[in-house]
Amino acid sequence: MPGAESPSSSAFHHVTCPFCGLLCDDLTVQGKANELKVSQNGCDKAKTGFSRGVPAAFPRIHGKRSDLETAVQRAVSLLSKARQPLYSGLATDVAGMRAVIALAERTGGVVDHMHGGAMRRNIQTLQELGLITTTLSEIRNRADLLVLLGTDAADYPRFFERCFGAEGPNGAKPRELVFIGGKAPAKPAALSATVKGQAIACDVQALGEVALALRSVLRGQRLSCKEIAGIKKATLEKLCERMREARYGVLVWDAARLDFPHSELVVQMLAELLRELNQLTRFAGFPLGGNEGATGATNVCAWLTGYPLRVGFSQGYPVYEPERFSTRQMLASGDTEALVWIAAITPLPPPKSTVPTIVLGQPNIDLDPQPAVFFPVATPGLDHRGHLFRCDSVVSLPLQQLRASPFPAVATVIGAIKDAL
Amino acid sequence: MLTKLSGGRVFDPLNGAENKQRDLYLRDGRIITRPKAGEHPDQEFDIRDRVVMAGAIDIHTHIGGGKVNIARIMLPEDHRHGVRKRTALTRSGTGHVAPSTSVTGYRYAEMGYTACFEPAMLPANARQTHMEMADIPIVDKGAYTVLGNDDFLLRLLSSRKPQQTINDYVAWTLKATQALAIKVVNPGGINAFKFNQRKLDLDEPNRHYGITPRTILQVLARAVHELGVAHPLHVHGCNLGVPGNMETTLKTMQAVDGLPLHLTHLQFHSYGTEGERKFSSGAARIAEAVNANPQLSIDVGQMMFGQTVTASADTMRQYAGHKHAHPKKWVLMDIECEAGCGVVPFYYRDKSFVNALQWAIGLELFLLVLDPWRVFLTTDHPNGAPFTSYPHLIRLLMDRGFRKEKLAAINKSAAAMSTLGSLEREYSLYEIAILTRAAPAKSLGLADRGHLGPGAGADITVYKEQKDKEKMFAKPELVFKDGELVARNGKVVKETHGVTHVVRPEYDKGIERTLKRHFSDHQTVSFENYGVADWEIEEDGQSRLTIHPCRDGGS
Repeated sequence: MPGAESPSSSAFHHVTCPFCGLLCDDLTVQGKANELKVSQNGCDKAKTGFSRGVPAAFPRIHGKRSDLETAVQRAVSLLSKARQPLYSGLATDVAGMRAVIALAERTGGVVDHMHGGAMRRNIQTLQELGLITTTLSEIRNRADLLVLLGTDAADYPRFFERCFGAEGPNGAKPRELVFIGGKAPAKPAALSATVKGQAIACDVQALGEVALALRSVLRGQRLSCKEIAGIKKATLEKLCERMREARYGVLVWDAARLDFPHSELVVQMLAELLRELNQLTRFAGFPLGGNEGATGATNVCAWLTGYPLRVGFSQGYPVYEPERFSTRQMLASGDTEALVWIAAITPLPPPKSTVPTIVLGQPNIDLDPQPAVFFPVATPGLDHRGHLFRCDSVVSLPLQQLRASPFPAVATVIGAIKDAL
Repeated sequence: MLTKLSGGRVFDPLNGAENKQRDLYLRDGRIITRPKAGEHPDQEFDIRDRVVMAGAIDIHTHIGGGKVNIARIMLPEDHRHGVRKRTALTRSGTGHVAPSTSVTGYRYAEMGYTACFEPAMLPANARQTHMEMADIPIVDKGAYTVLGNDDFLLRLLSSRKPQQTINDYVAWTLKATQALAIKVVNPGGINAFKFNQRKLDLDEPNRHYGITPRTILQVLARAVHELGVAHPLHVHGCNLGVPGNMETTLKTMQAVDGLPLHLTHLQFHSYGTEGERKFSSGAARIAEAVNANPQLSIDVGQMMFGQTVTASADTMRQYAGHKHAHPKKWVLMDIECEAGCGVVPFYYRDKSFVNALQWAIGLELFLLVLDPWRVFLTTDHPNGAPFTSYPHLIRLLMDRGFRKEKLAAINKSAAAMSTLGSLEREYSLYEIAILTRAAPAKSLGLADRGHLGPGAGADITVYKEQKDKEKMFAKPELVFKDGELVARNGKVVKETHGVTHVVRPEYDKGIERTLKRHFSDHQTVSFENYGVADWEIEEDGQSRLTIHPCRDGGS
């Protein structure tokens, strides 16, 4: 634990940031006692996240101060009574997720992540059609055309900086950015002299139609209408031409922004469009996402159980029910008797429900009403080392410990509960 | 604790023991010569008439890492066929062609396997591969890192850097990714596919870098050899699955100036173009070349009929194969300027001409390659078939009558084009012990595995001999891992954790300066966070690293 015990200021380099799915790992963070400050390469999200201090906090039972042992006992008693506890939130690192799966298996529980719905849209496509995707370094070195659909990537503040670091794609063409649906950023850092940008307005809900139209044009079919989703036919045809000419194009979307019924069909249409494009040139998808440890959570779940998230263990073995086991559905249907909510990265409270709740959360999480049991837990990458996955699902990175925290890691609390069962 | 296994019939090729009745003594996880005078065993197993071999070793099995996890995620329908309930002793899990981690470890142990090697770890995905392998219980693990399509290497080659620089880079990669060996997959082809080249033969240059697969094979084979790494360059060649690829394979064997090579899943690289369908067996010529070149070893990648999934870094060939996907879904990824990944489910049919001939070609290779020390038993799990089909495969090799019966059931035109019906060879138990234990251990440089001599790790499998070899090898009576009884009659009785085998040849640290610049100019991970540190593997308290020495002469 370099420097964390020293009262004087120390600098940590190559720090991995846990606060979004891009997992930037080039931050410099200054630490003094338990105060952390990003001094290099942090976006606003990172600055806020790292500057969260270590407030005085204690385990609580129905809002009353308790201690770890008593709180563990209370959690055990709630979980032993529950027929099918729901483990949700799951904003934790790989070790935390391993512990959660072991406990869920032991207690016949169900696991879902707070971003389970967004992830489901991509995974459903993977399971029905498959996908062609790429990773950040490929984009940085090869992509000459990025088409963003329904997102300006603003939730991932350094996305364009990470994409456009190298000297140029394939050492040749200038890069171009096209935004379809959703606003183009007024002046994104990306739109520098070397990057051309274009915005095409349309309703996010119509992105599937737009993708279908592009695919049809690529197949040599004629569009019989003058416009699709408010986009002029000529604009679409021109875009098709540009996509066809790209040496290495990338479609970027953020499934969290496709928050409407059956939006998985949009992702499926993008998958079909990518297949069409790859008959001509190279093109790949880059689904943004993976905040709050989501990508790691679903990967750990997959290697331990065989299935990605939304798995239940009430039969004594993993059962995959991605719709029925959603947090919303489980709480609404009364299929669960206890909620374990984990939010160790950002202080995000659990959804409102009448189900007795155990929260493993950031010490300063705002909880109203007070849950049955509350454990303040350490933040991975600030208070303890560990691992998270980047949103491309390929790269996982080590997290550093930057300070001494009085709070236990999620894996420690979950492990203690399992041992006490 | 002293354990005695009394009276078994030992098949231990590395110590020259063929069917020798011998007592074995185990202490502290090792085989010992004999106990001290007057010392009595704490436990004794009477294994008279039983066949005793070292624990089996799978030299090429895709058990972990991104492509395997994508296969798991993509195929929920597959997992319902392979459900395992939680017990007081074992975790639950699922999966038939792409099993979950615990199920992988249990099934291997229950089949008498005690070590499994993941042959396609991408450097950028090494951390995940090790995380997954850490969750595979009982068996030892290790991985081969994929190089040869990375833009860094291609840049070194196009700027004509000396072999020593390549060697330093390869050695650094082995250390940074915690690997046991180096693999090359479709040398240069995965990279060329990113520049929209759709095929790349041995002497075809990459459109952007101008480098040919031959050059890549040469420098990597030399690097591995000069660094003294025990396992030679592990080669998944060009043109996988392409009719006529046997010519490329024959040229590949001769491409590296007589340096050792291991040619993997050679079944997929042994195709001719004869006959009406322009698809024929090249096994005879390939086997002849293997027989004539003692520096070569192979594994077969036997294909079996039924549902499976293919998972490979070879995006160029996987893209071409997607048309045959069953069910109709497939994933393709370009990865971190290093390589890629393609996951395509297949259903191999015995009535399909092509599939039936593939099946026959694999068996022809097994039967025509004469030296059992240079051919290893694999199905390229899960690409040819899931590893659970090994007992069936062993029976096909040991039982001519059974083989002919199966041959009679496949596509008639394929059977007619194969010489399999005329091959009378039957593998002996001793040869099976070579294929599945002694030879892989020797090839990988695992000095204390794959045999039953004093000092060896006490990884031991005890079989009841049966006429039906499939039954015999499916459920060994006893399986010991590091001296502990872990499975009995094909059921796990204890969950333990094996080690991760790695090598760390030395290198000139100067390469790290070059790499740092490369990382800041091209990659999206900091150089400092790229390598997998020891703590990342060992911190969970159950995984350990075992570092193997490199050969004398290695720098």
